[in-house]
Amino acid sequence: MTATARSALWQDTVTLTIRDLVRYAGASGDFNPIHYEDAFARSIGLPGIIAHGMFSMGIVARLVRQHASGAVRFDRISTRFAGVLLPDHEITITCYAGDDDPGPRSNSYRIDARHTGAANPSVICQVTVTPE
Amino acid sequence: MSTTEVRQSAPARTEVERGAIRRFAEALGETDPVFFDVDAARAAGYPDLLAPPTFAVTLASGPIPGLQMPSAGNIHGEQEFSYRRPIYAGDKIDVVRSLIDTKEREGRTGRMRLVTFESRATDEGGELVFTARQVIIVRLSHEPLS
Repeated sequence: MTATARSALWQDTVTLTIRDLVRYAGASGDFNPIHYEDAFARSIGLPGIIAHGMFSMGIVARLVRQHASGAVRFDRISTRFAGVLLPDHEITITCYAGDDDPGPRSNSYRIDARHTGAANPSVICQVTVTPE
Repeated sequence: MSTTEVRQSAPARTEVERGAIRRFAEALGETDPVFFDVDAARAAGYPDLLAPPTFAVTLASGPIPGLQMPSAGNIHGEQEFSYRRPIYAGDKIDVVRSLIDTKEREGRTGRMRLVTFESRATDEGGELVFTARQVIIVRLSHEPLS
């Protein structure tokens, strides 16, 4: 089954500021300068400051929890960071039914995050949760 | 080097602090009081503040003997967590990180080295909390990313 063959279970948008990235850097301890120093990011070939991959993964997990109908426990989160997400650009996050068979008690989702309107996702997550 | 040789870190312990969970949850935009308020967490059936699942990435791990990685500019390629149970404030978690694989590849943005790690996290009772698998991309030559 292809991605376009399924309908979205939910969709959300977020826009991250550089201030948000700095707050995440402090809270996570990830001080890689590609997340707050534009000149450094450009010096290694990036288009500018980029969001932490783990920040986008954390936001995906937050949204999965918030869109669930009750409390859920995370069994597995698997993420591929296929591209970059930039601050001050709207990001669209879309959730579909997952590819995995999660078993009778659990639910699996495939979630992608991309700059709004972009042809390809930057972050692709497979998530399995179990209702508590 | 023998192909069966596994290079791994010594165990590194993190005592999970409430303040660290609150700051991390706030940075992610969480608002559920189970991440911030001990009474709310206990009322929801948790022993203490619940940590967001990706909090696992903040747990310390020790150096892997003989492994040299650039200190800045690495890019995250993949990340997977498989959880046996959630992480709570007050947990004392030991992480052992292993180097699984390194390979060099010519990508559309230049030459890169893909370094794969696996981590195993256990609690004070020796019970598994989660395992993680991570691919870090070290860029060896840079052409602009499209």
